[in-house]
Amino acid sequence: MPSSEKCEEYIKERFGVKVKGEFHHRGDYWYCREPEDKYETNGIRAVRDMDIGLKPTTYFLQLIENSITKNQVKVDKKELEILLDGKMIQRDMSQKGYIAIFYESHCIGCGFYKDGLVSSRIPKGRGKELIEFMG
Amino acid sequence: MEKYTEIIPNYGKYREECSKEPIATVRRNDIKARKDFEQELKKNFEQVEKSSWNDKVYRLGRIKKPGKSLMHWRGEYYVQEESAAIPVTILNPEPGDHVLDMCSAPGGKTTQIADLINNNGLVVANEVSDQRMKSLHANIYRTGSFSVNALNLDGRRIPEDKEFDKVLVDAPCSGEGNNCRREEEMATEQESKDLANLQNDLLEKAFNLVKKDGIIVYSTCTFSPTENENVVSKALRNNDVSLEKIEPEFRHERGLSKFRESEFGDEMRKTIRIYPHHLQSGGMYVAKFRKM
Repeated sequence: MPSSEKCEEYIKERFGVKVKGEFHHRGDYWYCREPEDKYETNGIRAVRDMDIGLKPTTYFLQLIENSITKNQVKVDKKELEILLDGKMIQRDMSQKGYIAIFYESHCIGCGFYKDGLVSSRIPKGRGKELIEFMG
Repeated sequence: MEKYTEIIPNYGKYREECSKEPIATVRRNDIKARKDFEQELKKNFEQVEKSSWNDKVYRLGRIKKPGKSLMHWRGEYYVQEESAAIPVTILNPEPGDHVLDMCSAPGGKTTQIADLINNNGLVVANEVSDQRMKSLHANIYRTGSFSVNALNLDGRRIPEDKEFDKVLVDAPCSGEGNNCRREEEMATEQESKDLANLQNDLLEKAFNLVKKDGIIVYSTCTFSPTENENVVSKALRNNDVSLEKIEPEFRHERGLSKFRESEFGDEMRKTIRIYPHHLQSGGMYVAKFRKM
């Protein structure tokens, strides 16, 4: 079974956040208090463990927003609307990978950076809800 | 509706309240809320008033969509009737506690517990319905309640391999506490009797799952004595538990020692009934047990 260190290292390396001893691997990495498999879910799904690598969830990035120091992308209202519409915005960053999208000092969720472009990885349903009351 | 005129004092006020939209209330979720929460809430809503008895609950007036804001989307607050915040307040979960919420979807009370223990401890949220698990999970994630582990079982079949400090049985009920606003019929006696059997089973299970000296809170959002005092008095007779007197700071009525030909006993005066006109919210019944 993959250890939680792999996940801890990824979060530290990618977002500058040190989270210790709270991850439970069960298909994906779950952030929880009691890692027992008898439950349907343990805490919240924090990082997806995919063939191509690790991917943080929007919910987890929101939870650690105050500690995130790396790979933040700050957006204004217009840019957020573009992202939630499934389109991309331009940015210049050093390394491809998942990023945390910030709007009005709040972490809104997960995005992806590659070749000068940022796209949203916020779940579509949640993004739609957000668009509805942003006006 | 007229079936309870004899047990609801100020019946005119009760009827008047039932003819109105309830006051919309939200509960601040300190797992996600920022220091400027109140200030931000006031930017979103014209009327913001703190509840007199719970400093996490805010009354927003008789508005229709309190959930339409970025703050809600981010999980800084949970839309919850003021009266629905009462059972967990009485349960009084504290950091480090292991708490079971036996009938948990959509998760208002579960996330309230996680907030009160500051995600420090364990909340086991059980829900029998597959469909309602979705809303439970969505609310756990949105509010950042990572101390919550979810179970999808019939509450009567929860394995007894773990003992909890506190258990909440917010039981399935006939929902009369809000039916009055929707002008729906009150439950028939047979419906209430069927529900009472389930409620009793859930309560018995809760007693088996709590540790000695642990607390069990039983609550419903109905007025029916069959589903309230009848269930509680039977549980009290058949189990090694005692009732603790609930002494809240908000307006309420005491539980009934008798209703028509049914005698429940004076112990039921330790339980409480909240009618819609008390908090301009929904109806609620709450009893607090301690396992001996």
